[in-house]
Amino acid sequence: MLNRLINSVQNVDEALCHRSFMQAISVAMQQSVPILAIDIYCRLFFKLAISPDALLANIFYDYPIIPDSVSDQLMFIIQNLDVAVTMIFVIGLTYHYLTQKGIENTTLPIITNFIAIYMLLFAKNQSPTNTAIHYLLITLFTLLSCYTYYWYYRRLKIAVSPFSLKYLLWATTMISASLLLHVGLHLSSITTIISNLLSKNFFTTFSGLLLISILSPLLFIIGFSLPSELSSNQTSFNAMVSNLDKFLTHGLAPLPFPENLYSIYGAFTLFGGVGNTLTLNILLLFAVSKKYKRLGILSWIPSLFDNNYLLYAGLPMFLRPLMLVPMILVNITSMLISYVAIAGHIVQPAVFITPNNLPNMLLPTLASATPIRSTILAFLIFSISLLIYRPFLKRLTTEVTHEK
Amino acid sequence: MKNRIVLTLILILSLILMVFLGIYGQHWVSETSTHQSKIKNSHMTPVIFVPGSEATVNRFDHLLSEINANGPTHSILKVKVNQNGELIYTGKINANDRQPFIVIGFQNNEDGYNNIKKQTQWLTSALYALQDRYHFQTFSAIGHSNGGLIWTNFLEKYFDSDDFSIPTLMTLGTPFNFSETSLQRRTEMLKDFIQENSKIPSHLTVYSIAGTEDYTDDGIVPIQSVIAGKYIYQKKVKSYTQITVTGDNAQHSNLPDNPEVMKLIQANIIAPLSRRDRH
Repeated sequence: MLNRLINSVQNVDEALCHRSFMQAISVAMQQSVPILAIDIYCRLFFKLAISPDALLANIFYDYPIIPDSVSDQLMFIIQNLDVAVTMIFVIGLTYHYLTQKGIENTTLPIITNFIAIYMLLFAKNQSPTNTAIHYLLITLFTLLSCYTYYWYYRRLKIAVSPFSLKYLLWATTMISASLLLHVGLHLSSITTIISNLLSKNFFTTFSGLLLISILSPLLFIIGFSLPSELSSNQTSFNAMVSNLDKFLTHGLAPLPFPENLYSIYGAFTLFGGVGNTLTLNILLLFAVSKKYKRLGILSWIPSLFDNNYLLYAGLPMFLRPLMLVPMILVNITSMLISYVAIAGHIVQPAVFITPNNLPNMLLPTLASATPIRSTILAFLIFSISLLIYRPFLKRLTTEVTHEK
Repeated sequence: MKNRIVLTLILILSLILMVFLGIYGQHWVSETSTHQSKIKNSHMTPVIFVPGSEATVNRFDHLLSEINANGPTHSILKVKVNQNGELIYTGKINANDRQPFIVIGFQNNEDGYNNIKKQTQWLTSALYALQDRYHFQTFSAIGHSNGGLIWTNFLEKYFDSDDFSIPTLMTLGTPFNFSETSLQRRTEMLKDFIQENSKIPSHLTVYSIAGTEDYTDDGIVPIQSVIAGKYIYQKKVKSYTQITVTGDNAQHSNLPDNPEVMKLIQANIIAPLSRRDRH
C-alpha cells in the first residue's frame, strides 16, 4: 500500500516536473543555492554570535557586548543578500522559461521582472524580516510576466526590435502592476492575522493541532511565507504563557493547556525546520548521488539550527508533491505520537522557555519537566521521521544515481 | 572510504556540539525558571518613588515618615543611580515587609528632555537590578515633577509586561508640557509622548495631581502643563483622574508633603496594593 502511495505521488511529481515552468523553477532555484548559502550562513552567524539575543550571549554571562554598529552592518548585509537571492531566482526563472519557449533575447523581460519584483517586495525598505522568501508570490508574478511577454512576442512575430516602444509598453505595464500590488498587498498584515489566529484556544485542541500539522507543510511547500510562530517561536502564545505561569506558581499541578502549539508542534515537528527536515538532511548525507550528498553537507549546520531553506532550494522542495506528502505524514505522525504521550501523562509537556536560537532538537529535553522521557519520545519521533522520508527521497534521487 | 570518515566526523562533531549546547541550555533554563518562579511567587508589591530634577533620594523623607507614623510601618530603601550606572543602596527592606517603599534617584538629576531620556534608562536598569535582588513583579509608581515624566517615558519605551506589572501610577505636579502655559503649544517631549502613547499598558490606573498657589500655577509648573497629561493617558489607560490640590503646601516643591496628597497616596496606592496582596 505504501508502495502504491509512493508510486502515485511520484507519477504526479514527474508529470508536474515535466512541465516547462517547473523545469525553469527547478533550475532557477538550484542556481540561487550558492548565494543562498552565503545568506544563510551569515544569518546563522548573526543569530549565534552577533545579534543582541544571540545564542552565545544568552548562555555565556561573560560574552562580550557586540557594538550596535557591528550588528547593524551585518543586518544590512544580510538584507541585501536576501534581495540578491530573490533577484537571482527571478532572473534565472525568466531566462530559463523564455529560452525554453524559443526566445533568444531575454534582456528586456529580465530587467522588467527584476525591477517589478524589487518594487513589489523590497521598495520602501520593506524587506522580509526572515528567510521565509515569498516564493509563491514571486513565482506567480514572474511567470505571469513571462506568459504575457511570450504571448506579445508571438503576436508581434519577432520582426520588432526587443527594445521597441511596443515592448517597452509591456514592461511599463508589468512594473505598474507590481507597484499596484505593492500598495494593495500587505504581506506583514497577512502574517499578523495568521499570528493572531494561532493564539486562539482552538489550537490547543486535537483538531486545531491536526489542522496546523497539515497546513504548515502545505503552506511551506507551496512557497507561502510562514509566520515565525510556525517556523521557530511559539513562546508568545497565551496557552504557553498560562502553562508556564501555572507551573511556576503551582508546580506539577495540572496545566491549563497541556497540548498546545509549543508542546506539540514546536517541540516535536520542527527538528531542523518545518516537517522535521533534519532527518531528511541525514538521509542526504548518506545519499548515493554526489550532488545530493554535497547538498546534505552544505545544509547540515543550518539544519541543526532549524533553517531548512538550503534544502528547500537545493532539492528543490518548492511545489514538489514528492516532498509534500512525506512532510505531511511526518507532521501528522509526530503530532499524534506526542499528543498521545502528553494526554496519556507519559511525558510532561514543554513548559519552560529555552534560550533564543537554541536548536529545536533540544527543546523536548530542556523544556519539559520529564526530560528523559521527552528525549526518548523525541528520539522515537526522529526515527519514525527518518523511516517516512527514506522511500520518498530514494525516488527523488534515483534520477541522478548514475553519477556514483 | 574518505567520504565515510568525513561524514562520521561531521556527525560526531555535531553530537558533541548538541551535548555542549544541551548542558549550557539546561543551566540557562534552570536559572531562568528559578528566577521566574521566585518572581511569580513573590508577595512583595513595593511602591517606587522617583523624585524630580535637582532632587535627591531624600526628597520623599517627610512624606514617607508621615505615612509610616499614620499606619503600618513600611521599610524604606533608597537607590541612587550614578552616571556610570552604579547603584548605591541606602536603607534596607525587612524580610517580612510585603509593601516596602523604594526611592530611586539619580546622580545626574538635571532638568531637560535629553536628561529625562537618560534618567529613564537608569531607572530601567535600577528596576531590573531591584527585581533580581528582591524578586518582585508588581509595584506602584509615584513620580514627583520630572519623576512623572521619567515614569511616562519608561512606560512608553522600556516597560515589558512579561517582567513587570504596574497597577497604578501617580504623578505629582508633573509638567507634561514643560513650562508652556498653553495647551496649543506642544513641546517636542509632549508630542513624542502622545505619539508613543499606544505602548502604555491599558490596565494602568493613573492619578495626576496638580498643585495651585493661584489660578495659574503651583509657583513653578503651569497648571495647563500638568493637565496636558490627559493627551497622553486619557482613553489609553483603564482610568485617568486629574486632581487639583490647593491651599497651604500646594506649592510645587511642597506637593509631596501636602496632607491631601498623603491621603491620596494612602487611599489610591497603598490601600489597593495591600488588598491585592491579601488576595
